[in-house]
Parts: sequence; structure tokens; C-alpha cells
Amino acid sequence: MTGRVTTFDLTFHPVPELIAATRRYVESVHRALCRDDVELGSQIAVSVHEMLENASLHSIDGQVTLRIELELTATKPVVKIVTRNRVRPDDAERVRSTIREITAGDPMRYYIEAMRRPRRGTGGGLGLGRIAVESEMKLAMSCEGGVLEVQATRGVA
Amino acid sequence: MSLESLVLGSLTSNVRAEGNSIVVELAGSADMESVDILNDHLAKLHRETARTKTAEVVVDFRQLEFMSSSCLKAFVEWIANIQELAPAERYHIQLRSNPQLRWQRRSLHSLQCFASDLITVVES
Repeated sequence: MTGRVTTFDLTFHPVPELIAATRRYVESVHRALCRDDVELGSQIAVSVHEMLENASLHSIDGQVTLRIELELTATKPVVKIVTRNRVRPDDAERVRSTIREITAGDPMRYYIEAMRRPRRGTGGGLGLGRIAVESEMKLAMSCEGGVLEVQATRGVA
Repeated sequence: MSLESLVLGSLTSNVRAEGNSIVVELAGSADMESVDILNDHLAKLHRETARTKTAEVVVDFRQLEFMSSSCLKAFVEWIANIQELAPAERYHIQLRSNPQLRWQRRSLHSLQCFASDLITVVES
């Protein structure tokens, strides 16, 4: 069954103030849309913030595209959050390695281990772990033509 | 107490002594811009708590709208510093959370998982 679909697209040059403003807007809209799931609006907002911070840190030209799809079905909401930005090959490889590590085992174990690790200065590892554990979303990535796409999803078949 | 309160953009931290506790009230939003100064603030808090042999630090998150993982890491590093103290010198941490700010329950629980012997989470 196909439910009601809401899509949000934004292409911008995120700085901390804009990331915070986007997070507040996204939380407000999705709380209103997901009244039956009081956690989900907050979980989407946390994921969006973490993904935008990561993308802004590694974007070569500073530009990031954010897309959020929410489908309200008869059962559970389906959520897909995507960021796209141009990256250097080593940054894409680091994200690939982190997501592989999170998805290969227990995300909670990864998250606690990421907390214990020394700060790397490049960010990403703890934020992606937070999305997997606290926002209960699955992570995936691809990189084609120097454009990194990171996906966080819930309820996607 | 020699620890100063902190104001950085949208993040504020008010520090005060309360009995044998130090209370840190956070407000605003803690994101990647706040990391360095928050790290410094928590390092000073750690030194002051150890110097004064304070039994407990209460961190009140109830007015903190949001905290990103980069700042969560600053708290983890502070907690790791307490874990490195000799058992008799360690102090307890109470984290106060706001049930209306739903990220707090999830993230403060994660911090508690990291050091369950040191941390209590109180929702009010």
C-alpha cells in the first residue's frame, strides 16, 4: 500500500547557524506529520543535523544537497534521508569504512567503541553511530564521480 | 569556586556550588562550533572538582535545545578522565534531562551506557 508522501529538498552551503535552523524546521514539520510516533520527528532531526555537519566538513565546494522523504503508510512510517556533496576520495573511503563497520556488526557496540576512540578531528564516526543507534536508522553510501551520497533510512524494504 | 561560567554564541553554561556538588546548567545549542570551548570548560570543571574533592557534578541539560555528536564526544572525554582517576578520587555525575526534548533521553542513556557506574540520569 502506498501512503502519503512528503518530500523536502534543500541545496545550500551549510554553516552551523543554517544547520541548526534546518534541524529546527525539519523537527517541527515531521513532529506535525508523525503524530502517532512521538520519537520520530526528533530522530529525523538528529540524523539531519549529524549528516549535515559531516557533509559540510567534507564538502570540497561547501555545497550540500539534503533530501528527506517521509511516507506515511497504514503500518509504520518510511523515512529516507539523503545528503550529497563533492568529496575527496580519501573522505569517501573513510565514510565507506565507517558505515561498513557499523552495518557489519552490532551498531550499539560500534557506538560505544567510537566513544572510546581518540578524537580524529575529521568527525563522522560518532555521528553515524548515533544515527544508527539513537535514530534507529540503516546507513548506506555510494560515491560516483566524486559525489558522495549518504543515506539513512527506516522502514525501507 | 574558581570555575567560570561560559557564553559562546548560542551555548551558555552557568556553574555554581551547591552543598558538596557542583551544578552546571547548560542552555542553548551545542554543535561543532562549541566543541573546543566545551572541551576546555569540561577540563577546567574536572580539575576544579578534583581540587575541591567534590562528591558529585550535576549537569543540567534541561534548557539545552540540542547537542551534536561532536559535543557528546567532549562529555565522553570528560567521563573518561574521571574513569582514569583512582577509585577513591572519582566523583559521581548526575545528568538532568527534559522529557520534552526527546533527544536527551536517548543521548544521555548512551552516555550512561559508557559509564554506568559513574552516571545517574534524572528526568524532570
